[in-house]
Amino acid sequence: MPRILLVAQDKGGSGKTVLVRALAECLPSAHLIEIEANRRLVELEDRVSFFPVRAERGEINRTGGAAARAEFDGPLNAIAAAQGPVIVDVGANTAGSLLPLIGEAQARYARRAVEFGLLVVLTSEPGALANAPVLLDLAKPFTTARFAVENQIEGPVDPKVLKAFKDVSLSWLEKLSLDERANDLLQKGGLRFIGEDLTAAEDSLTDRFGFAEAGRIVEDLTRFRAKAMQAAGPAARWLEG
Amino acid sequence: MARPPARTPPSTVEARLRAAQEAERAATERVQQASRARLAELLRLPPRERLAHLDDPALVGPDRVSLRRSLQADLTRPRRRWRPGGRVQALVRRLGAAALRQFLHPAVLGLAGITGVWLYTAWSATPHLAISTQALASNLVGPDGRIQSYTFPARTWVPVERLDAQVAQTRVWYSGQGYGHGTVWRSGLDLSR
Repeated sequence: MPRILLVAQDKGGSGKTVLVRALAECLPSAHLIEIEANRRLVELEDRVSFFPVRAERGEINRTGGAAARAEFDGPLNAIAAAQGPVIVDVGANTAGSLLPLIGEAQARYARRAVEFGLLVVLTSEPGALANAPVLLDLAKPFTTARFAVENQIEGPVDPKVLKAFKDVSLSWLEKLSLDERANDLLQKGGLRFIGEDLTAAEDSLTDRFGFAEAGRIVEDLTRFRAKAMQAAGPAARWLEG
Repeated sequence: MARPPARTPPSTVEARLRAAQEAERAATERVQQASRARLAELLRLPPRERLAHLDDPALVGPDRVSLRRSLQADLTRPRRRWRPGGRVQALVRRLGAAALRQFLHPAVLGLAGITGVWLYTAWSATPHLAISTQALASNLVGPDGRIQSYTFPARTWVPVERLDAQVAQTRVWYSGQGYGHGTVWRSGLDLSR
């Protein structure tokens, strides 16, 4: 029975792609579907099926109707064809349109034994905080599991707000301060580079930046990867089945 | 040195989460070990050279604190055992000046002078005491001018008002009348007390 985990947050800059990468690190057998304006998960190579969408929802809604809906045909078909676990990176300004379409097709997906879960990323930024319950409500009718990750990149979310997320599995990603060069490497290589190539790259980092800084870079990156994977852990376990 | 054989990466979520945590711990441990080794090197330097390494990038936070503390211990002057603090010193200075002004007041000075004269008079009017080594006879001139014979017994206190070469001026109290004055032989007195 293929399990599909939709990772969503319509507000950009919430750390959604970091969590998608962490999920991919937790479960190497999972395939990924990226629905974005630009391809970002390049380091995952052929594990990813990329489907471009227009970045501005306003523009999509203006064109409206069949054209807007047809824009999601590619990812909806890819979901239907899934044979194993799939992580779907739903780009910013996209989930509000995509989730209702999946809901409408739920019965047909069910005949193919496709099971859906949703992971929403929360930050203390008001737009992200307001969007999260909307997405969780939209997905409730067709998902068997819902997850929320509190990304503390902009500070912790008010605990009173978190209490409102009932029937949702909550985890958090603490704010970590990275060495400047460590952050550059994270942007270029993603978590896969840290997991697979960082130890081998330590000598080269030492040559370039010196022994002490290379050590800090490796420490910062491995810590970041471990924390991100911990935050994605509950959803990854569900996806594993 | 031969590289360790490549291990098959774990495939389950639990195993991968554990492996990520272990990698994090190992990286932290490597940085801490390097920092401890660097700290040991720096602690062997003289204090003034250590000052240049307070922000050494190889040191983690706790080791930087250790280096800073080692300098505080070496460069701080030895303390006195006790010294009044600034407030106490100021208070003493203020009270001292106030006391000096009080003592130099004319009324206080006048009173002190009168007291001094009084004390000197009292001291000079008080006879010294000697002990009679034998019975000493004396003719005392009483307050009323009459002369009376009086004998100091041996081994008694004899009040001496003045010492002359051969004799000592003495006195005896007549109850309700006043002193009677006379002389006794100085050789009959023990003046060593």
